[in-house]
Amino acid sequence: MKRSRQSEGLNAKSPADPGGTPLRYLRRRLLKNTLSDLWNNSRLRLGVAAFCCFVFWAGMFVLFLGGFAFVEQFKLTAEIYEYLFSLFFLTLFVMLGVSTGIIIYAGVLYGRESAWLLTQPVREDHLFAHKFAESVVFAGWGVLLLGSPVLVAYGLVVKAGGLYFLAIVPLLAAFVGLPGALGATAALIIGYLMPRRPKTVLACVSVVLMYFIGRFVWDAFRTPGTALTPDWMDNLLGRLSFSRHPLLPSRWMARAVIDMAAGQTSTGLAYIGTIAANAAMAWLCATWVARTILRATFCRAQGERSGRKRRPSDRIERIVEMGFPYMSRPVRLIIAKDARCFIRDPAQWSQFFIFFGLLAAYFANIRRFSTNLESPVWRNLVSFLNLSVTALLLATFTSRFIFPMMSLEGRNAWMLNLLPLKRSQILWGKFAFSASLALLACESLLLISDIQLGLDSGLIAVHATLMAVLCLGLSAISVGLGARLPNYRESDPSKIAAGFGGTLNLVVSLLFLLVAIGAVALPCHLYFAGLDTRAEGFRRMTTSWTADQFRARLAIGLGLSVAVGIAAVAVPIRIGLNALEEQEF
Amino acid sequence: MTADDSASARRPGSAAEMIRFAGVTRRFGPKTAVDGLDLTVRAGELFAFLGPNGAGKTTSIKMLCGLLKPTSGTITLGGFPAGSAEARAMLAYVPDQPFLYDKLTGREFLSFVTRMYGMDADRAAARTHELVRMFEIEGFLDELCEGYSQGMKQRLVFASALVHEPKVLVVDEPFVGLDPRSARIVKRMFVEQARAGVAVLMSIHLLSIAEDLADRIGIIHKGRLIADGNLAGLRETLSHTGSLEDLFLQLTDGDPAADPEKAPETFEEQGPP
Repeated sequence: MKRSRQSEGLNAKSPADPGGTPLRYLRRRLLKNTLSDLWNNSRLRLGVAAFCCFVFWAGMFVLFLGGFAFVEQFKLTAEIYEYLFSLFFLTLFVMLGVSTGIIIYAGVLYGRESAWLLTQPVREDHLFAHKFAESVVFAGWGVLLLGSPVLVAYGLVVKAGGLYFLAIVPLLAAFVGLPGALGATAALIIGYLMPRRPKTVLACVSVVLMYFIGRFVWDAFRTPGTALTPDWMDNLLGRLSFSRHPLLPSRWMARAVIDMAAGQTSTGLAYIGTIAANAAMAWLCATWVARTILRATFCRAQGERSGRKRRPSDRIERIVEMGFPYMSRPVRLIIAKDARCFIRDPAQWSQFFIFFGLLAAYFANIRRFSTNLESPVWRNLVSFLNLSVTALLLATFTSRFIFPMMSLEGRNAWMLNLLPLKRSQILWGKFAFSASLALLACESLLLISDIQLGLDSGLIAVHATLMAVLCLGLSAISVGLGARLPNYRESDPSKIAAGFGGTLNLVVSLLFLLVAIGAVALPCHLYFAGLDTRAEGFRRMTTSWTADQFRARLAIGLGLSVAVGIAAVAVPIRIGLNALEEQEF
Repeated sequence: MTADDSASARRPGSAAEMIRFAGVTRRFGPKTAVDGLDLTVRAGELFAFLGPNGAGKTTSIKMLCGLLKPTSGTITLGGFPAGSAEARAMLAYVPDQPFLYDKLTGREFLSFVTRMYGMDADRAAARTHELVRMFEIEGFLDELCEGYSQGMKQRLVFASALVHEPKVLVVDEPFVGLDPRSARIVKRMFVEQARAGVAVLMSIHLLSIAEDLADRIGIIHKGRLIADGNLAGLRETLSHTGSLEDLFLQLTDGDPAADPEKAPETFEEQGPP
C-alpha cells in the first residue's frame, strides 16, 4: 500500500524520520530557559516555592515518623506495614493514573502544541512520548515530594540499611511509569471512543472514584469494636485485605519497601525489577496504542461546537437581584455573569457537588459511624474535625476556582475598562459571589453535622460564626491575591491555580485556617477533655475550668478568630484593590 | 504589486496537482461544515480561499493538514493522503492563531523546526539565515518568544514554515496583526513561493489582497464551493463588472443553496485560465 502511494505521489524526498531527538532538544531548551528565567527574574518566587516544598516535606516526615513509631507499639507490625504501604501505594497508583490520563487527554487531544506538532513530521508515538514525559515529570515530582518523607521516616524507624535509602528514588521512579502509562493509554482509548465529551468523561471518572473512596471510608468507619484496640485493628485489616492482592502493583511496592528495609535485598530488588518490567511493558503498549489511534483520536476530538441553543432567561439575574440588593446594578450583572459561567461549566459544579455532597452524606449519617459520640470530648473533637474538613475543602475550591477568576477577567480587560463601573467593583463582585456560595454550602454542612452530633445551640452558634469568618476570609484571600498575582497569559484556570500565585494562595489560606480554627478549637478541647474523666488519651491536655471560665476563654478565642478573619478580608482585598487600580493591561 | 506583475507572471496550467479535494464532505453531528468539495491547486499556483465566517474554510484547511478527517471523499497532497508522513513532509501550515513556545527564543524555535525536518546543519544554517533576512527578524531572534508582538510572532512563524522548503503552503488568515511593512513582506513572500513552484492556498477575508495576488479564487459558502476561477473568468460568467467585494457579496448575501436558480454549480467547474 505504501509503495503504491509513493508511486502515485510526486517524486518527493522521502520524509526522513527525525526520531525523538528534536523533541528532546525542545524539552532541554525549554527547561534551561525556564530555569534561567526563574533564576534571573523570580528568585523570590523560586525561594518561596522551595521553602514551601521544604515545609511540606518536613511536615510529612515528622507526621509519618510519629505514625510509624505509634505502629511499632503493636504486634504484627510487618503485617500492618504491608497493609499501610499497600494502601498508600494503591492510592498513589490511582491518583497517578487519573492525573496522567487527564493531562494526556487534555494536552494531546485539545492542546495547541499537539495540533501544531501533528502538522510537522513528528511520529504520533513520539508526540505521545513528548507529552507523556511532561506529565510524568510533574507526577514524579509530586510522588517524590509525597513518597520520600514517608519512606525515609519508615527507614529510620525500622533502622534500615544504607542500600534501602539509596533504593528510594529508583523505586519511586519505576513506580511512576506504570500507572502513568496505564492512565495515558486509557485516556487515548476513552478519547477515541468518546470524542468531544471531555466534561462527561471527567464527571464519570470523578463519580466512580468518589464511589470507591466513599465505600472504603464507609467500610473503615463501620469496623466493629472499640477504636485502636487489637480486635478493632484485626477487623480493620480484614476489611482492607483487597489492597494486598498479589497482582496489584501497590502490593509489589509494599513488599519492595519492606524487604529492602529488612535487609532482604534480593527479594526487594526482585520486586523493584517486577515493577520496572511491568512499567516498561505498559509503556510499550501505550506507545503502540498512540501510534495506532492518536491521530484518529485527535481528529475525532476536534472541531465540534456545542450546538445547544440556550433560551434567553433572566432567572439568574433575578436571583442575584434578590440576593445582593445592596450592590449596584453593574456589580450584580458581573455576579450574574460569574454565576452563569459557573453553572455552564460542569467541571466546576460537578466537583463542588460531588465533594460537598459526599460530606453532606457523611455528616448526615455520622451517628452510624461511631459509638463514641456520647462522650463530650469526642463529640467536640468530631465537630471541629468536620468543620476543619469543610473549611479545607473550601480552601481548595477557592484556590482552584476563585483565585484564577481575576486572571481570566484580565484577558477581557479591554471590555471591562470600558464598562461604566470602577475596577474595585469588579473585585467586590467576585468577593460577593464567592462568599455567598461558600456561606450557603459550608453553613448548611456545618448545621447538618452539629445537629447530628447533638451540640447545644450556643456551640452551634459559635461554629456558625467561625464558619462565616472562614468563608469570608478564604474568599477575600483568593480574590485579593488573584488580583495581586494574576496570570494573564494563561487561559486554563487549573494551570493558573497550579502556578506560583495559586500555590501561595493555598498556603496563605491554610495558615489562615490553622490560626482561625485553632483559636476556637483549643479552649473547647481543653474544656471538654477536662469534663470527661474517661478520656485517658487526653490526660495531658485537660483543664478544670468552670463553665463561666470556659465561656470567657471561648469568647476570647472567637474574638481572636474574628479579628484574624477581619484582617484576612481587609488586607488581601486592599492589596488586590491597589494592584487592580495600578494594573496596566 | 498588482495582479499583472504577480498572478499573470505565473503559468500553472500544466503543473502537477499538489492539492486535491475529491468529493470531500465533513459533518459535525447534524451540521455539514463542508459539502462535496472538489478542488485542485497546482504547483506554482496561488489560490485564495474566500468565504463568510463559518463557511467551511478552516475545516477544509484542517482536513488538508490532517488535523480533521473527512466524513467522505479524499484529500491528497502531491498524491499522498493528507496527514500521511509524506504529505506532512511537503506541507507548511500557518494557522490563524500560530503556535510558538513562549520559553524558546526565535532562533531556538527555528533550530527545533530544522531538526524536525532532519535538515543537515549547514543547510539549516543557510536557510535560516536567508529567511531571517527575508522576514527581517534578526533584531529579536535571540529573545524569548513570550515577549514578541503579534506581528513578530507571525513573521517568525512564516520563517519556520518555509525553513524546510515546502511544496505546499497553506495559510489561514495570514495578515492578522501584521503592520503594513510586515504585510508587504508576507505578500512578496507568497508571490516568490508561487514563482518557485510552491502551491499556495490562503484563506483570507481581505478581498483586495486576494484580488491583487491570487491566480485563482474560490468562494465557499455554507460548505459548498460556489465559485472557482480567476477574477476575470468569474466576472465574465456572472456578467459582473464591479470589484471582487461586490462579486463576493452578490454570491454570498443570498442563499444560493436554497435557490436552484442561483445554483453554485454553475461556477464550480471553472479552472485556471
